[in-house]
Amino acid sequence: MRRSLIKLMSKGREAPVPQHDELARVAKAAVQGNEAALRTFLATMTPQLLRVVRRVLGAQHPDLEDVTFEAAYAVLEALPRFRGEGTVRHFACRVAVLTAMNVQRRDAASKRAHQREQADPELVASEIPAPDERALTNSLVPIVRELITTLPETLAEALLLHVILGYTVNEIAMSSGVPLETVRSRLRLAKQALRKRALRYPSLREVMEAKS
Amino acid sequence: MKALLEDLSARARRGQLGDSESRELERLLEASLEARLAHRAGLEFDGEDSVLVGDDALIERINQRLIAPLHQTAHRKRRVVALVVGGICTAMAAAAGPALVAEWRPAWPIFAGSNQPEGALEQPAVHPARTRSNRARTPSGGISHGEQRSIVDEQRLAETDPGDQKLAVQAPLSSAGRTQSEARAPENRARSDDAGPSSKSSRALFTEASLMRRQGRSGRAIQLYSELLERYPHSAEAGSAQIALGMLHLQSGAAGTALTYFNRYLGEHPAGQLGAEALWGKTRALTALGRDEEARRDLLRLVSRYPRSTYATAARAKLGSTP
Repeated sequence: MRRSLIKLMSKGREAPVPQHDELARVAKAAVQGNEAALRTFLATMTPQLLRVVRRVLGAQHPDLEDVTFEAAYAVLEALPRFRGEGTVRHFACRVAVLTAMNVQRRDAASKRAHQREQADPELVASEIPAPDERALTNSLVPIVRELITTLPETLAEALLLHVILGYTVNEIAMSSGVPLETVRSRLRLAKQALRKRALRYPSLREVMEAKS
Repeated sequence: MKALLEDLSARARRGQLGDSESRELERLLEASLEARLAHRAGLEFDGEDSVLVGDDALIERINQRLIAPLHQTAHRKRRVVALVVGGICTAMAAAAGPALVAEWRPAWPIFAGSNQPEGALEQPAVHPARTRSNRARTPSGGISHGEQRSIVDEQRLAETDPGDQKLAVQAPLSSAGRTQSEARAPENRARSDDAGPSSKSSRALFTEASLMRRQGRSGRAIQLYSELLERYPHSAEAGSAQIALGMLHLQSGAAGTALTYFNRYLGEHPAGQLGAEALWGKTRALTALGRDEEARRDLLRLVSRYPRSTYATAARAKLGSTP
């Protein structure tokens, strides 16, 4: 009895803290079929979803519009299942992150398959520099984008939410529905992978190892 | 300590840190290379963030794609209601006597917009509560992008009949993104199938086909692109559909069929924007069919006609490697 009470208390300490959600009522009305609410919800959320998708895929991605549409569609479809853990905004952005991440991972898998099969013109003469080339300019952005295609999905998601969207641990825990400790652990592993990957590039290593 | 660092980093990016917290963050970042990397990556992503020219139009297009099917479905629902009501009236009149039936028949077009009352009762049974919709009479009240509201008018929310709310929300979801709902609940599938191919514009067909292609469902994509070509052969999307069909057939090993589509595009759009893609696809199809000499001729044509295209570089590489 005492042990379970302690467990419950410690769980309570580690539970993510809910936040005020101004979009909750609009989302609820949209789910119930109110067209005005649906329009308001989309007018509010679509720009943010576009921003999330653009951050994950990059501004040059050819399917930006389609992927944002897919993300918005997925948000509308998932909205009835939203249980009020975290804010609607975080929930929607997480759905967009997952949608874009899946596209990124699928693209990467398909590129790898093509590379094995034959020389593809898109790869032969792509105008977008390869991650290695971009890393020479000391940018971590292409490295993170590349990393999310190879990391396990849960780690990639945590990295995306923290690094790309700038969520706190509490916000990640709320939107993902996992305990704070799990988020911390995932972030730790993802950051280790980021360090490993980043330090492959000598120029970046020099910059990062020099303490400010 | 770590959690504190991550939260400080996130809040610093939002500009929410005070002086002491900023100093604490600096100290923590100095102590850990991993933290420095993650924080710097975050700042770089923030720096990339910007609103680009055309974003408003893009967002508007996306929202339209999501909302438009709502109106189509509302129209379809009203039509079904009219058919059911008309059918019931005719049945009652028939029971009352043949003279009354003759009197009612001319009224059919008013109820159903059709001269075929016999088909009326064959429509899918719909619960009256679900079909009743005042959506058409209610002004949409939607707001344009940029004019964001945080709270919806209470009165307007209260106006919506809970009976038809479910159906109304499902409508845009099921028909706009039919591709995704197909893989989910059978109920959704039935509803999206209800939309029927005849109600789709060339743009909607093209969008759906492209989604299918991107999801790797080549069979369904081929079916939709073919439907588009069959129904809208002169639409703006027809050319792109031909190229997409060619590429899909090429991927599936049907080089002969692929060649037909590429040739068709090149014949119908001699100065088309996708000329380089069509020529490249054609050379790949010809190579797959063992017609190397023709493929080489087309590679040369591709290089001379589109010297700055992505495909020209690949074509030059191929020409250089072939004897």
